[in-house]
Amino acid sequence: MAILVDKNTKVLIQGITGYAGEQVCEMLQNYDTQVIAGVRPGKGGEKVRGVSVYNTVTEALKTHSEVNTSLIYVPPGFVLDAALEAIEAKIPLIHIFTEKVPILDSAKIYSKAKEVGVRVIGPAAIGVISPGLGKIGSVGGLENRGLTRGNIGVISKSGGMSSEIANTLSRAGLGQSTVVGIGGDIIACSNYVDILKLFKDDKETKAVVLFGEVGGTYEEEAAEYLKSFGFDKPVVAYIGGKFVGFLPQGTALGHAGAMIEQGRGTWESKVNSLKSAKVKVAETIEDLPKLLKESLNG
Amino acid sequence: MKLFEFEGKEIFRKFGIKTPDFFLLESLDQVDKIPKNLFPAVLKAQLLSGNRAKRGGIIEVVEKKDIDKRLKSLWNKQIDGEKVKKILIEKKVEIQKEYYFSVTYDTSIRSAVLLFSSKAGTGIESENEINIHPLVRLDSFNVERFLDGLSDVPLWGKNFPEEERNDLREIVRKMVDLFFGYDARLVEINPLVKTKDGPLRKSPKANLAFSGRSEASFIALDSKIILDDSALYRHPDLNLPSRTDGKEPTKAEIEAKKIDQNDHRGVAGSTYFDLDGDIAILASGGGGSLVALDGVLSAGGKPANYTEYSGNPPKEKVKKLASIVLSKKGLKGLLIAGAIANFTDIKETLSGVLEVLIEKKPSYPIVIRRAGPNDKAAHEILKSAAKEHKLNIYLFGEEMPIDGAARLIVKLVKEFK
Repeated sequence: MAILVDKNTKVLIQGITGYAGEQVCEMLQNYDTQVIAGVRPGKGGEKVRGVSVYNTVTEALKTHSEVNTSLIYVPPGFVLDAALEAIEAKIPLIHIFTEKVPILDSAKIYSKAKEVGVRVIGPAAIGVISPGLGKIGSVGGLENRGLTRGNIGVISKSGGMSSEIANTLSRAGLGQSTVVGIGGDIIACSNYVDILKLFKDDKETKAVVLFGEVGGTYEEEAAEYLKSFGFDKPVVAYIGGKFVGFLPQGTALGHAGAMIEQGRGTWESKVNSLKSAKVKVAETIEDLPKLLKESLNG
Repeated sequence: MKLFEFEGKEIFRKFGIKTPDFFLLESLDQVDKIPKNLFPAVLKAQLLSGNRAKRGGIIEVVEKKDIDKRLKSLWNKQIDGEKVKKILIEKKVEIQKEYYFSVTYDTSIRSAVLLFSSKAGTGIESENEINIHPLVRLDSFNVERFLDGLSDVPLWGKNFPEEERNDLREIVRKMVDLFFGYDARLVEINPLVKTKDGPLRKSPKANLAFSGRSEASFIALDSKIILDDSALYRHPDLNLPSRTDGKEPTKAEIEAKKIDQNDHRGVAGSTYFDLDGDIAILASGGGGSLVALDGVLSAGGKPANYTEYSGNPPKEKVKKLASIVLSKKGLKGLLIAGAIANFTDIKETLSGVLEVLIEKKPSYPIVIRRAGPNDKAAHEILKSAAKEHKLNIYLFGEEMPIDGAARLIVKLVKEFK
């Protein structure tokens, strides 16, 4: 087992004719994940790497009703329409790779997905990989270095750090069940809690690693969830951005979500709330495997 | 993007939210142009951050003849690292009551919320006086329905007397329209004041006879608007000049920002700021750069800057950024680090850094931790260049953790001193 992505994942790529869309198509094909169809308004009838392109999601689903996952690789201004199209078509899993999506659009997407009952991951999320079984999005990049099959679930705001953490775990002999990049935007359509709920029920996952960053309240909410809902698997975490507290006020970091507003979302607040939920918080990335092994053996 | 108070108030007026009459002074030469009927007035330093009320950024002036001295004391004054270059001269308002209102996003419900309070002032955020009320779902967003819903919110009734509720609902409607209409992250009025009714107090020397009574009304005495940077492209009508939040940008910060403006392949330098340490940093990726910086600081090192490049930028862009980072005076080390790259071509990007290193030939230690596409070729080139140009490079791939590389540079810098 794994969560979100496995051998049965059947992918539609919205924006397949663009550079990033075609690249992800190639990466998925190289990882033996089935790319069933693509969408690009006005380019219906074309083919990208052997995959048929349709003008709309509905049109694509008419021929390929087996699609169960859609990847959104369109420019920021088109993400809202693309996502609403996929949500209304009730595709159960929708991943939005695009960065710099307006917050209002993300809020609308989140709200609509909740109403229809489909899952959206992103925006600005690197993707999801269940090593050896399949992947969606660009996680693992071209080479999938350091990703090995195993029992650790990983949830990360940072795309780059999701592969990095997998690699660190693999070097210590800890493979991964599924690695999930949730993105660092203010509105994450799937947050830590949403993914923790899936890992809770996944028999293969024995422990979970969280990579968090300063800003927002998702780490604090994860701590609340772990405290109150009897999550019976060990969780270890690393929170990046300790140094932000040393910076002059008003300094904005690259990740929009890392902006601290009204004193919420500080490094201390996240670390303290996670610790109070019995989460082991690592001082360094290299400590993660050590803490996991302690928890799993202890 | 944070807006200045005057910019926010201009937008308020556009949406029909009243503000006091004001004049914006952008140069001391404009003193003659200040209308006489603004007095008694309040001079307000226009700043993007910092606590101006506590640091002398707000001064009352009763008569125009007193203004020169006051303006001179405020102009160019440094308040929390930001220089006063614009002053709002605002007609003083007689206050009966003060309220707090804002609209913003709340990550715990992943939607927008209205915040309101019958108390106002600078310390309000910390005083647990604010009531948070979620706006209705955004996909079926309906301002009317939301406003109707407000009357059922017990706190709404508790906070505001009945005769004021209609006016306040109208102001909330306008704030919500503004919030969504301009893709804001925050629209705040603190305070929203209810003016005193009856004849306004006359300035003792004003010769104008006062006629009639003024109605008590609600006026936004201050404005705080933050717009969503990702959505600025939808609002060209705002025509806002670009800015850095708060303190004056350094020359390096301005130069680094230009790199991405002229070339949209990958990202390099969009986030750059100077710090006062001696270890230059060239980090990659948002998360990886946080880990690298945290590592340096935890090990007792002092970063000279923060910056990151990512998304496979071409060599020339990385070279420009490296050149800015390495031009800083007093450097004692350089750390180049990032998570294992998914796409960024390690050879291409590090070649950009190497060209600058060959030019500058620094004698201080350089720790490089980079892995990803083309890393083997990159490492070969770096090794031979280090030999040829006598560069003190410590080169690592994925076998070295990012924070391990950070600790190493701190140790080497201590030895180098």
